Amino acid sequence: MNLVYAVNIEALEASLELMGKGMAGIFTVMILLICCIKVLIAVTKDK
Amino acid sequence: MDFLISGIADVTWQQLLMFVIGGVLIYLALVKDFEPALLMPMGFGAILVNIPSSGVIDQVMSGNIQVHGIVQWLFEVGIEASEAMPLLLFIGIGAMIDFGPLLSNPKMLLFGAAAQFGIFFSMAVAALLGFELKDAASIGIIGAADGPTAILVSQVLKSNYMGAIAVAAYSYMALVPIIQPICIKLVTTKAERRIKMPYNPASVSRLSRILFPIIVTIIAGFVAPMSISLVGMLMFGNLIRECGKLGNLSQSAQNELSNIITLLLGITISFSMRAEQFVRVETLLIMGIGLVAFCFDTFAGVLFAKFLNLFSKTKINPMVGAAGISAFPMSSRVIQKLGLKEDPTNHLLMHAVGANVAGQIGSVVAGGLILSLIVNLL
Repeated sequence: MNLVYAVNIEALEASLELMGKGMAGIFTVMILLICCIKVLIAVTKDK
Repeated sequence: MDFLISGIADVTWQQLLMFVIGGVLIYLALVKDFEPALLMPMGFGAILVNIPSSGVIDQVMSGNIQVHGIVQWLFEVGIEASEAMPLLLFIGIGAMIDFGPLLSNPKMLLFGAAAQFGIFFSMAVAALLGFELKDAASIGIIGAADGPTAILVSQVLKSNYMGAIAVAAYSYMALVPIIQPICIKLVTTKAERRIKMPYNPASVSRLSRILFPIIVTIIAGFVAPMSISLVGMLMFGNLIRECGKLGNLSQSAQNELSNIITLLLGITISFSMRAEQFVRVETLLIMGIGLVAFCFDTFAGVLFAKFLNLFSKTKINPMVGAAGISAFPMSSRVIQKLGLKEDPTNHLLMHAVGANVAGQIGSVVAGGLILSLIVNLL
């Protein structure tokens, strides 16, 4: 049994790429939602 | 008389260890009150599937007779085929969530995004420790702090470690009241923890509450199509709740549906807790990485709030950022308690609830994004 785990370089590079794209994607969704909610609240405000 | 002792003779030390682990999970569930609805069935299931030649998993008996086991059948139909169980559970979860505090203060959504950082950080840590990408991504999703998302992503990616991932996800969700206060105190000062946040919610119309789940589904679907199953089921449940016409269905989703799926999900997951899959050094590594994921979720949420404070006239209590983790409603209660401890007049609950439900959206979007993006990388 190997006690020392070799760094999986390909997986590390891929996960760093995923980190950038993933966080960008989540923030994009959230910012779009914030804009939509603000418009929604403004448009549907009970007069 | 050999048949009487063949079961005992066939047991391995790994299976005996799984009996102990099953017992520990049952203890944690019943005595320590750690997510009893999931950990107790998982613990009992761990014992069931590790008895030699257990009838709950498929066996080929002498005479080439195939016997189908109920736990294996539940797994193949309820999880392997189309991840039905976690997705149906999400309908119930969606029906339980009130997005009102979030709709009245939508910038809390940013904390729901920031607090997903732990997922990706721990994915990198897993890769650093030698895990393949699909396993690293499945381990990282523990940081979503959401059992169904963790189960679904690890199943779709065909991870070899679903059992360990599920145990880690549910255990650490139960440990949020211990993990988060420690992490928050590491990255905040007393003065920051005492920042007062008055609650002046914007009024939210019924139409907004109805349109919100539809809009979330469409936006998340266009950005991350693979998230549609998760986001869609969550928002479907919420729409049933908010539409005002389906009270009985909403109650059924919140109660009967959720309870039945929860009852079956834990014991079904135990199929991936067979000794040959669970008793490995990697399981310990996964438990460690899972803790890293939860810690870095908290750090990221708090630090993001501190970053926003650099540009904001109205200061945000950084602890609210930590509530962007998806562990609902535990995390928001933790923040409320910490806030009152620093200043008995500072009620942070509604802000924290807004961030917490935002975290629910953030975690399913993160899960869907991982699935969407990883397909191109594998």
